[in-house]
Amino acid sequence: MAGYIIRRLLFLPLTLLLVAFVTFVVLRLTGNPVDIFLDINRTPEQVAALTQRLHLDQPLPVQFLIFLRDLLHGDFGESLQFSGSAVSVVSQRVGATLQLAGAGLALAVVLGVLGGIVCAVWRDRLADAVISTLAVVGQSMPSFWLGLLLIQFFALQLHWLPTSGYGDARHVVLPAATLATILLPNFVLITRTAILELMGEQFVVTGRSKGLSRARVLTTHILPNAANPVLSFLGIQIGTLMAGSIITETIYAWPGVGRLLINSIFHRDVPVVEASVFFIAIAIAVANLMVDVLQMLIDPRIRRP
Amino acid sequence: MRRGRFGPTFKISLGGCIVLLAVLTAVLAPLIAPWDPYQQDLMARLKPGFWSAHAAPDHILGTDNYGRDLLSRLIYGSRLSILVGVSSMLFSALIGSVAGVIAGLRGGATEQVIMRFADAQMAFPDILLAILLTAALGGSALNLIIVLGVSRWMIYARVVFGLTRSLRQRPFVEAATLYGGGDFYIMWQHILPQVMPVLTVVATLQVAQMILQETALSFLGLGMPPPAATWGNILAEGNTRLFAAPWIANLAGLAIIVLVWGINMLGNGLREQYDPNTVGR
Amino acid sequence: MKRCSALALVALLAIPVAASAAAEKTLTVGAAVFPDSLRSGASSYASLSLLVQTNDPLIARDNKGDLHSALATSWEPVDPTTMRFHLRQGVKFSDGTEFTADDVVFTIGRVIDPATAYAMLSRIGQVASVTAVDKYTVDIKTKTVFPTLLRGLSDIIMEPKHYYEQAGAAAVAGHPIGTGPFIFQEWVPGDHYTLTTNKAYWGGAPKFDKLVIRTIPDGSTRVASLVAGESQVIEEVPIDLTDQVNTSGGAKVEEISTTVGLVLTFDPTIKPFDNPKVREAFDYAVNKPLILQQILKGQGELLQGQVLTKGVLGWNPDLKARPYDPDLARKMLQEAGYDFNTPVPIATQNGKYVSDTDICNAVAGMLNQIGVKATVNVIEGGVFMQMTNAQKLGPLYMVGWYSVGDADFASVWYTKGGYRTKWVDPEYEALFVAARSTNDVAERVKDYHRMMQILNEQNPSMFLFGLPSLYGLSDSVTGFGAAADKILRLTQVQFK
Repeated sequence: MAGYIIRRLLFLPLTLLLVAFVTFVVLRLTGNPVDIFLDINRTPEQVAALTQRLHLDQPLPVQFLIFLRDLLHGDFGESLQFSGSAVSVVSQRVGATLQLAGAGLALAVVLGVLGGIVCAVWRDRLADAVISTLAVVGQSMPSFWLGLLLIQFFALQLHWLPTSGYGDARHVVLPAATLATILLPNFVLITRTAILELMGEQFVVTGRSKGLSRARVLTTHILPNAANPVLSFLGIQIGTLMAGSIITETIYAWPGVGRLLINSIFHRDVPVVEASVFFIAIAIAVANLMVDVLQMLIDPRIRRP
Repeated sequence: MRRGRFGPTFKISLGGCIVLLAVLTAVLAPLIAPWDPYQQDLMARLKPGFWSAHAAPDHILGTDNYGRDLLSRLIYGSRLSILVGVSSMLFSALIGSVAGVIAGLRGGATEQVIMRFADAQMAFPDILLAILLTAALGGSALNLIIVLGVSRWMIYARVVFGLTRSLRQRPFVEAATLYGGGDFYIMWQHILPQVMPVLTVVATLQVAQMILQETALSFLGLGMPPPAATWGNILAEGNTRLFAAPWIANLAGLAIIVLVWGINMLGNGLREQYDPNTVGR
Repeated sequence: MKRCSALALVALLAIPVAASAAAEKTLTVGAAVFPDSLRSGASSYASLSLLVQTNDPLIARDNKGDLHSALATSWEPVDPTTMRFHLRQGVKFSDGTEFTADDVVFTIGRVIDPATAYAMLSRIGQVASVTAVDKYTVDIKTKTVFPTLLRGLSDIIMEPKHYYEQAGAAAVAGHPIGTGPFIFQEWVPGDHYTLTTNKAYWGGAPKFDKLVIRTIPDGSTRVASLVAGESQVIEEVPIDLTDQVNTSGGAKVEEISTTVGLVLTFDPTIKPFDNPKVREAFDYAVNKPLILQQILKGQGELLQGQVLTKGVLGWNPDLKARPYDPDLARKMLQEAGYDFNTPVPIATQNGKYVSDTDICNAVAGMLNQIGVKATVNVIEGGVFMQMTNAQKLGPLYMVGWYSVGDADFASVWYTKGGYRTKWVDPEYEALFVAARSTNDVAERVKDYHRMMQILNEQNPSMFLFGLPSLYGLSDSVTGFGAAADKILRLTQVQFK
């Protein structure tokens, strides 16, 4: 197992390099940060000074190599729009994103697994149809629209929750629910399929024939075994979660990495974009690795290539 | 545990009906739309539809912020939404399948390069790539199709790669290779027919994802440029006025929900029919 | 698995964040555009709007754009290129250090150093040097006669020399110190800025205890936060949501015209837009009053055939916007031999100006009606900027030029040196230089009137609207005024 983890970790830099390269080239080719940063009234001296500071007078490959050289020292560069290094800018936002993503994911897993169990137990019956339908409806609601509808209903009409912002526990409810809606249906579906698959297995059939109740078979035989596919799916979904946080954070004025990233793309603040993208890629890789390790711990039969 | 009435057959027929209806709407748009979807009437902007006492009499579903007929825009919007959804799916399926087959047949360094590249892209939220590229290229139907296609090819690559690798050992593929069949010949003659059923299911579900992705890009101001109507940009435009003219966003949203729901229903039904034990995504 | 997640959920929801004490009066502002740092000299007014809460300029503008004394109490010219400023005495920075001429010399010296990359430098671009005459007097020397010096200085905040020297620029941006009405308390990037009132403010302490400026990027969410009572002031109410605010029963919308003139500029190097008749015909084809009435809901103003908004120094009262006359427009185009199959993409950004894309779409719709093949090309901001600098935006593109009260700042964009239009007119160029080279106001006004007339005759742009700025205001506060320059001025705000 240790070998597998090491191999996976060795692969991470390659991913990051590729991601960094694509991001760098696209951003540099489609906008000059000097134009965006300085006032339209700027003087030629200012343009020259800033161009030199950002190495924009060098050819693009050289710029990328300079970026890589600094990166090896852990330095993404100074943010243009912010004061301070890109790393410090991004790290200030990481907490908010993790909090939102964590709450959203937890909500999606809990409700999704519960829903999946109900769907599987009453397979192809009304409850299954209703829950599956609701789940798909939720998933197909673009989150910027769902977000505003939730604000309108829970904050403006019922006055139960604040409209937006970052603060106490009540602030996280609506954004987390919005984010959870993106993932929830998949968890319902995966749980449902996993349980149904297990129901045909020999040990489950045996358990039933020994006279165990349906509920008991479900809790002792089926659910522990259904955890694995759900877990592996969870790993895949981390990327979706990160993508969903971009729009959710904008609607709810949530001070996370997603909104920072979008803003920085629009400002061509390359250091901050790169640092945010690294954070996201690393978060996805680490989450997947954790899921894999967890799976192997739960079920030692699983071997990784 | 007995099976009920809402099984695969039910899902395929209901989902199929919805999809068919949407496609018919798109094809017949010029015949059924009551108005020119681009005709503005600023004096009649943001008028509600039949449910309201202040309704504009000729506009059943009301008007948008330029006084254009919302029903006509939704009808015409189905064209670009479905076109972008299906074409970008086809484009990513094409890249993904070719990459997957080549990686599966060649193996070795080729496989490593292609599949590691796919892995790397998996660790990068697809919407981000789409944002970067549309910001750069600008939004047009063609650009959107390319961008959305490129951001999702690896899903097909992985599926096709897995299947190809298992098929490579089979006698008929080995024989074809021995007799000097080229990669594309083998792919066309032997691999494609085998992977088609699985691909169809994945692809069906991906159309829904593409439509939602286009909507998200519209929200960020990176979708189809005006005055083109897609459900995504009608929704995004209506969303900014949700508190004032809720019907625009809500009706466009409803259209998206129904279509995506229909596509998912169809896809999941097909999956259950084709292989009840597949744990897919 | 399940229990694990449930526990995680509880843990995440329970992360406590200090709630504000109920007794103190906190004013919460919902900001539309939130700068990314408190570094001075960024190019946006949103940034200046935060900085002026803690730091004062020498000369301040009010909400209408008129100038008043601030850290300088009076000023007089010593010679045509030297202005002497007498500073307010006894003013202290919030750390207790006295504000003196040294701080002015330091600040302006820092601004004019190209290495600082101070984006607002152009506002005082002609300044050559600054010297302290005594502890409370400074002389600012300019390279040439510089009639807009005072107005330009109203964009430059005064910063503490001693603090920069002790702590460095990064620390100053992280925790600014100034002489302003509020004192820095906390800055959470991307979320909010908290300040306490400066009880010793020289201009009179604000009558509440705490100021929180929150960022709420989405317009609808911003309105929701006002209506729900979470904020008392919000910026940039989306025009179509003004009724929702006004009928909410607890808030209303305050509107003021800004000095931003929204125009659609032609590229006269692209045929057939080299022909002034074609450009004039386009102007006749657009029903500007209808767009103003319907899309801008009557807020803002119709530009009267010139880039300047009403009342700005240099605004020409004799000019009128061309009337809407589609038949005349079509006839003029036919006479000019216009090829109606020419594609005319209108380039614009989305969300840069109030209702920008909406206005472009409406204009395109009206051009379509006389048979012109106009479309709208929405371009992402960074790419738009790149195309602007390459001067490759196509035949017609939308921009807004602000004058902040003086024609000089807006008229420069129609000169060769402004690099923002390819239209060139020798007489206009000469007048621009002449108006810039004299301190005689009557002379300058005369020059600007003629320049506006040239713009009106030649139509390098279609002049559309002076844009409005809409603030949402809770009924629980009084004393807030909508600002033409979008700077938050909060010292007079009171809770009822």
